Amino acid sequence: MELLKNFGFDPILLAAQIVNFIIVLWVLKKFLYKPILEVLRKRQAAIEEGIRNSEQAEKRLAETLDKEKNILKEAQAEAKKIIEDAKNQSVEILKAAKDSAQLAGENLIAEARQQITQQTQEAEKGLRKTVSSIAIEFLQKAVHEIFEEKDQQRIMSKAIKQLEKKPN
Amino acid sequence: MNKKYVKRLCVASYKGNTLDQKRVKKITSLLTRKELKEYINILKLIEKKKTVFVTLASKLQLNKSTFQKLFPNKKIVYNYDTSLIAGVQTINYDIVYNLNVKNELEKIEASINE
Repeated sequence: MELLKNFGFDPILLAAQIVNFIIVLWVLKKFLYKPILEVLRKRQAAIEEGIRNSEQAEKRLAETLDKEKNILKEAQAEAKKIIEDAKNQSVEILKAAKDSAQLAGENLIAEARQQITQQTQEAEKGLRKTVSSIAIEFLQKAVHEIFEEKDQQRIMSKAIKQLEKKPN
Repeated sequence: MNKKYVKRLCVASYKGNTLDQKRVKKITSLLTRKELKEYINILKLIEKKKTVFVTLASKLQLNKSTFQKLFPNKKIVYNYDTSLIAGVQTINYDIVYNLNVKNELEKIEASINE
């Protein structure tokens, strides 16, 4: 006990200091530590949320980038397909046009040939008609000179015989 | 008065083979305009049926008695057409006989043109 007194240790003071300390501790705990801890906790939570959100955003960004890549890929493939189709179609259209032009040309030639044949036939017919009418006309004029009275009488008798046979 | 009666009147207008003028005058005075038209048309038809038109190439071929025998009880009207060349053409109402050189030549022309 004297040792403790030599060191300046006072029990009442100690007790009072302990009480004081407790009171201060309690006051600090109630009015300082709690709010600060609360703030810290909130900050931590916010930071954690921020980290979580950024992770999610990164994830979504990655997903979006992936999607974008896929869409681009698909679009490229489709564009390629469209170009191929267009090429094939153009080839087909060209071929069809060529075929139809050829057919039209052949038809024109056939029509022209037919027309030529027809016109030739008509010309021949006309010529034959003209020649025959000229020949008959000439014959009619010439025969007048050839037939004598005897010939005419003979023809007349024949005609009358034929009339006698026919019904009247 | 219908067509049948007008026809009877037309037949009655004839005395033998020729038209009796008195009868014709009497009948025409009794007919209406429409009936008169009918009467004239039927008379024309009768005359046509009674007449034979004979066309010859020349007067030298004329043989009246022969044709009279061929068409008894008919009036024969003779025409001359040198274009027939030789032979005869007879028209007996709607029967036509072309027995002449011109017709033969036309037949030849038609067969050539076929």
